[in-house]
Amino acid sequence: MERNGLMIMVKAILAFILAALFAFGSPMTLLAVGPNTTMTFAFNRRGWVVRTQDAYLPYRNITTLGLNQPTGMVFGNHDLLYIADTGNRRIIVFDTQTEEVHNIFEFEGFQSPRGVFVTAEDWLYVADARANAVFILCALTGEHIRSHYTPTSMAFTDTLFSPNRIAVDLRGNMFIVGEGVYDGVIQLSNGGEFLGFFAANRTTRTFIQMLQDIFFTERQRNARIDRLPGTFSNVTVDNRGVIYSVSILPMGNFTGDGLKRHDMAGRDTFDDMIIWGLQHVDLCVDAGGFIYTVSPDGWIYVFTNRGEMIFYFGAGHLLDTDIAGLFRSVTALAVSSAGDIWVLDDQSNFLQSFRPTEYTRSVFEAITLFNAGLYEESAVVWEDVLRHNQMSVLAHTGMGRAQLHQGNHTQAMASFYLGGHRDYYSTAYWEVRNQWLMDNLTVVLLTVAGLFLLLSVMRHLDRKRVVAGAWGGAKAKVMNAPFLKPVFFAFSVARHPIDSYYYMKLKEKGSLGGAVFHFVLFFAAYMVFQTSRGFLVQMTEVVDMDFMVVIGGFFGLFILFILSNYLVTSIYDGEGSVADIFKLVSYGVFPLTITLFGVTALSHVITHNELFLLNFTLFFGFAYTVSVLWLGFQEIHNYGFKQTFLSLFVTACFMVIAIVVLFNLSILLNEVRGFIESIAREVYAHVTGMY
Amino acid sequence: MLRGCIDKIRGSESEIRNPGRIRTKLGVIIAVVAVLLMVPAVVLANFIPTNRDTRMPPAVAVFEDIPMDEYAFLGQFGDLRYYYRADRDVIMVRCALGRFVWRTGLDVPFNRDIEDAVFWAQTEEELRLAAMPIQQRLNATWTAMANSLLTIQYFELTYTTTMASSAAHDNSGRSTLMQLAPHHFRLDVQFAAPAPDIFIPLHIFLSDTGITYEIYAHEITGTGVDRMNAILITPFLGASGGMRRHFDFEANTFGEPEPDYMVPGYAFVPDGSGALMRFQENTVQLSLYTGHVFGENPADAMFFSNDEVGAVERPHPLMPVFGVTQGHDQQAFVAWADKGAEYMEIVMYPERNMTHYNFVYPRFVKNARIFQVYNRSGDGFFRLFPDRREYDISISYKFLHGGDANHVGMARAYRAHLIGEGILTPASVQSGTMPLRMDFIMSDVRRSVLGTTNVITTTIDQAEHIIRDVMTSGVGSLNGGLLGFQNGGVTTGHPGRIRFNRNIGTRRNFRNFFDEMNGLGADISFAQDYLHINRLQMNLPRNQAFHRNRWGLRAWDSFEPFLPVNEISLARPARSVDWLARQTRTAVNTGAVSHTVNGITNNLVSHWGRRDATGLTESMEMVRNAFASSPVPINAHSPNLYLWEYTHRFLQAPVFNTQFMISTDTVPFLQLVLHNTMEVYAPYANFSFYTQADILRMIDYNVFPSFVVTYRPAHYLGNTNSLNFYSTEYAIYRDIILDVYNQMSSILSHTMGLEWLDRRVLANGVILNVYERGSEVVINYTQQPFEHRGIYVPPQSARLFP
Repeated sequence: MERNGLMIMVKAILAFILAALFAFGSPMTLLAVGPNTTMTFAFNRRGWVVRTQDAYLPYRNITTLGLNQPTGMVFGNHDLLYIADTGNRRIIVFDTQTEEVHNIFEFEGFQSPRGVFVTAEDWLYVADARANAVFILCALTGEHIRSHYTPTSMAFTDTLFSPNRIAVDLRGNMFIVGEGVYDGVIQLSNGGEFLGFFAANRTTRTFIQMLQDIFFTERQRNARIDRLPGTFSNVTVDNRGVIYSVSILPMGNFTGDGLKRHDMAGRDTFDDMIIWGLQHVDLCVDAGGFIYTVSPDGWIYVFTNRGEMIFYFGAGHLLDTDIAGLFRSVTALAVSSAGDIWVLDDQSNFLQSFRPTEYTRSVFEAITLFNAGLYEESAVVWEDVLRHNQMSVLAHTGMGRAQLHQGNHTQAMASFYLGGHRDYYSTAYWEVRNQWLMDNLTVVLLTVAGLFLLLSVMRHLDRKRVVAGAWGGAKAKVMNAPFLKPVFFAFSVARHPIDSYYYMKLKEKGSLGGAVFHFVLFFAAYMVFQTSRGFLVQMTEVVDMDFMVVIGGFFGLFILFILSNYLVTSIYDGEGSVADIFKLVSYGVFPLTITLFGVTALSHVITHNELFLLNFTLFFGFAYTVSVLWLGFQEIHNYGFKQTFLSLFVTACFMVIAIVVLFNLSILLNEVRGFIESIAREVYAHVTGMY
Repeated sequence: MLRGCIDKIRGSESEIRNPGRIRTKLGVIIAVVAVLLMVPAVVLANFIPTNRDTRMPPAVAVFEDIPMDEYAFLGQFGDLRYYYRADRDVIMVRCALGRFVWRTGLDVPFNRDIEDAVFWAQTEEELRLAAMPIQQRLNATWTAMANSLLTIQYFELTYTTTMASSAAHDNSGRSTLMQLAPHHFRLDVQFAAPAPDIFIPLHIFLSDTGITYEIYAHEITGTGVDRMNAILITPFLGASGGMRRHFDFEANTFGEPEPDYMVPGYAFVPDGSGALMRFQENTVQLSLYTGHVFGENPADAMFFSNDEVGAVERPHPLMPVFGVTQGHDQQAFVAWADKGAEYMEIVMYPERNMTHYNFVYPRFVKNARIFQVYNRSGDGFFRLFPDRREYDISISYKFLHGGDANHVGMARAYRAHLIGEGILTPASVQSGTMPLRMDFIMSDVRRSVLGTTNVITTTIDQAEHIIRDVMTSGVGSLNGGLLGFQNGGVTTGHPGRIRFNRNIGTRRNFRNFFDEMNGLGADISFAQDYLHINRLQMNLPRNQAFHRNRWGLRAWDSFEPFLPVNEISLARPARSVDWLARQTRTAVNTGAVSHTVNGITNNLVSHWGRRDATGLTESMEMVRNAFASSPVPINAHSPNLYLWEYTHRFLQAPVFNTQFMISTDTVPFLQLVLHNTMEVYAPYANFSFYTQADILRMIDYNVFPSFVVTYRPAHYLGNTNSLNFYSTEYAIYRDIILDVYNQMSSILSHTMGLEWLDRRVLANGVILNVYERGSEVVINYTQQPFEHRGIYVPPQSARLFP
């Protein structure tokens, strides 16, 4: 459970953010009604979900099968579709080519057939929850071969055996999703022996749940249903024998267990992927390795064989209206050999299919070619994808990868930038930078050496220090200019904080004007750092920033800190006034100002390999600034170490309390405003006879 | 067989013993081959029509004789004889030449009466006479509705709706027919308890082509008028299907229900370009179709904010017309509203939804429920409109037969009516060079540190460069619109004034541009949305339309903070038309010779401000007058019928429908009506409308191609509200534009200006369009060649037969 804790936390946060952004990136547009009834979405370069070219079009609507709460469906050999018609206790074999019922299997043992799976050998496995059994029939004739009931193994004695869904690997081992089983997928051998629970879902704890863990008794904790992991909803095996599962996760469970690809030990090999969507009821893996999942409300997700989401499509609304492509309650999905997606709705009791568009075929072809190592060919197809959608992250990234393999690093950089892929961008940039260094290093070194040589010669010639003296005089004149001296005093503060703050306290050095200048400079550095770092480290772009928070937070915290510190130090016998504290902080942050400018500039020339340099510089600048400020507080307030610590700690507490109070006050004022407005509206409505 | 299954699994087990790299490599190869084979595998499949296609015509219908005993003769007009059955309020129309018979209602007895008669039958003879089949799923209320000429839906005190009909079983509806003139009758309908007290006179005008019904608002009286939800006129005219239980004389009870003969045919509704809903028995219950003519008025909707932002926008009927066809070229009717269309809904019930009949009818809404919100948290309660809608109703039914008894005949009949009314002018499109529409996205805004920044994707010079390039590459006729032509771009550019941005083009640049374009023969215009507004454009409370509950309308809300605009509202009609007038004046002064209008063209919105309320009819008149007084021709984005008289170019014409599950076919009804009366353009071919089948559809539907382009790549729009334009760069579209144009021009240039006489389905996926002077076009959507008049039409192509 605690494995990869940090990774899970990061994934949880990302997934939460993504879930919060589960929005329909569609402003009012000028686009007319097209051939589709659903919308297709994909990630944009910054991880937002935006609309893209239609991936699938509604194709067939089969309303004549007389289904009754069908729950499972799978394609067998010869493109025959096996539908578990649960309410009618039968299996319908439907020919999707001719749209005719090919066969109906009404085995007497069926009570509620739900899960179906067909092996390459034409064995039809039927999971029947109410019969507590797995029935094996011949997929061609419906003849009963054998049945498996509750395993007799000691390890399984306490577990309910109600098979809901089933998949069978190449060895005939059965993987069964059981009703009410949280321990994992039930694994039976081809002889029906219980082999153990295969894989298990995890739980995450919210902050509230962590508090509950501290204060609740064990019985109370066990009674909480929200502690249960997500339940497996389906399982399948691809043509290579790899096992996949999907789960329905409760809201707030961001473990990424929605879709898993399992290794032989049941571990999730998609563990490092961010799996979009919390609720997947069924999945299918086609011959090309593309993974399809579906949510109960009809969102269909398509993933690469590496677990990257290609796109998802659906409608999500208008559930009260029967429109092709829309659903009320989806229970199953299957993909035909032609790539058509078939979807089963257990409330509407009909079957619908979707046909891939040219766009989707191009995407699939490009991915397949790339995975097969045909980079040049894939680049050509990615071009076609980009023609359909110039904002396609997948296409830009795919194109970039192809270009990277072909050695077109500059173009690859541009593609990765447009695709928002920082890791690959770093790789491409490293190559470009390396090439630049190879091409220009000699010139650079010669230039530097030449400059040194020139300087030495000049020093040698200027033995009487005529030029140096004139330079020094001009420099001193500038440094001592009345309006510049308080500005340059910041250098002194950074180098000799104790002395500098001492003289500042005596008002011999520094000024309010100089402090204001450095405060403005610090704000500028802060804004430049926030908005203008290199692509590799600028994780939030300007358009994603809330400048009310960015700018308001900066000034708010700064002012709040100064006021709080003044009020606190007034109690603790501090000697600094508000102006002193303002000057102290404004001058004291100068090292951080320089660091922020420097780091911002540096971020444009580094790759991921040198990221530590950036972090170290930032850390050093921050630590140095804190040290300067600490010494400043000691000096300005005439405190010792302990008093300084205490005053800053109390200042921090005071700030937190002030923020909480202000927050509550704003809520209260909003409520009061709403209350007054409600009364005003009520009075208005009655006076004007509106109701 | 079982042995075969077992043998196969044994075989596979032996293979598993030798796993390894071979499988991995095989997997890759198989995957590549599978994907590469996928395309031909699909393409080579037979053409199976979906509900986006038009299928073969319905089968020949067999009609049974209808007894005339209970009917009284009303009169004969031309070939049409009219009869009336007073106890069930049914009018029968008989063609004197024996071509067709229609009844306005089902003309069936109430089940309760039959059951009572059976119960009280004393002798076998009485029982035999009384034991008529009873209707399955038709209770007294629905039977009354199925028979009656007039039905109302009204609100109970709990705001649930109930029906009462003019030929009700109880006292809730009573009617009397009076003759006011030889062709003019009046059915006085009095509704009473348990229905509210409402009196409605229904005027009936009989003619040699059909019937017209009229209801005048000032004649509707009664204390319960405000509780009336809607008026339904002859809802079961043309109904098909039904299921009845016949009396089992041995068991002395009614037997199991048996389906009646379902007359083959379909209902036509103007959903998108046009949808046919074929009559069929269903094994599942499918939802009904409701089309709000001219779109649902958001100011009268139940809630003041739109909650369907995540779904594809559903087309609404642009015209108040519907019809029913029975049999193959046998009989049909088409109905249209001339008054009250803005409050009309077209409703189609499929079999197994409430009843076992397929039927379609007009519904005129008088009052509805709204959610009255009383605070910012959205708390509120339901209530009715404070005052009912006052408007007259006029709806005409025209009866068709023979070769006109299909959706093409309906379209031609409706077109003739609109031409007669002066709404459409025939032969407005001259034969010659096929035009191409090319819109430009010049700019939009994205968020920046201080407010927003213009993202310019096409400057005026670049637009000129593109147009010159296209026109020198063989495109003879071009027109287009400039979207986001001013400061603020598509999203925040003010609709009422023009503030030129020097980076896009100064006023002088635009003036020169228009001069150059006029010289080239390209009609380029400013394009503006006058309906959708936002806070960055203007002060919303002063400009937005108010809902009936007096809250400002919200058309769209999003959660994407990276977009500059996350909430879009709708403008008051008075503001919209004022902005249109101001901007067209400026456009004319700048040298533009036409103007492109979006938003108000296909969204009819009222405004319920305290001082400046604007009703729906008033709003419609305002927009129409604004169009009429425009100093330049108007290119309108998918305009509603009331604007067609003043529309020069019809842009973004729907070529699909909503694809309801009950829709079986898509037909170009709209295009058949509009053909040659104005230039009609297809949706942009950039977005999910780019395949060969789509090009064929444009040829089939006689619509001209349109594209939206930018000079710079579309990804620059990724942070703007125009991010849905994800593929627009001219450089990648140039060849596609020319290819599409040349393909279509080779056909449509020859059919422009010719009357479109007929459209037939020759085989699944093969369409024949017939024009005057014997010109024909065969469109072959299939993967097989098709022979027509001894000439093969290649797969996925169209061919002109002059």
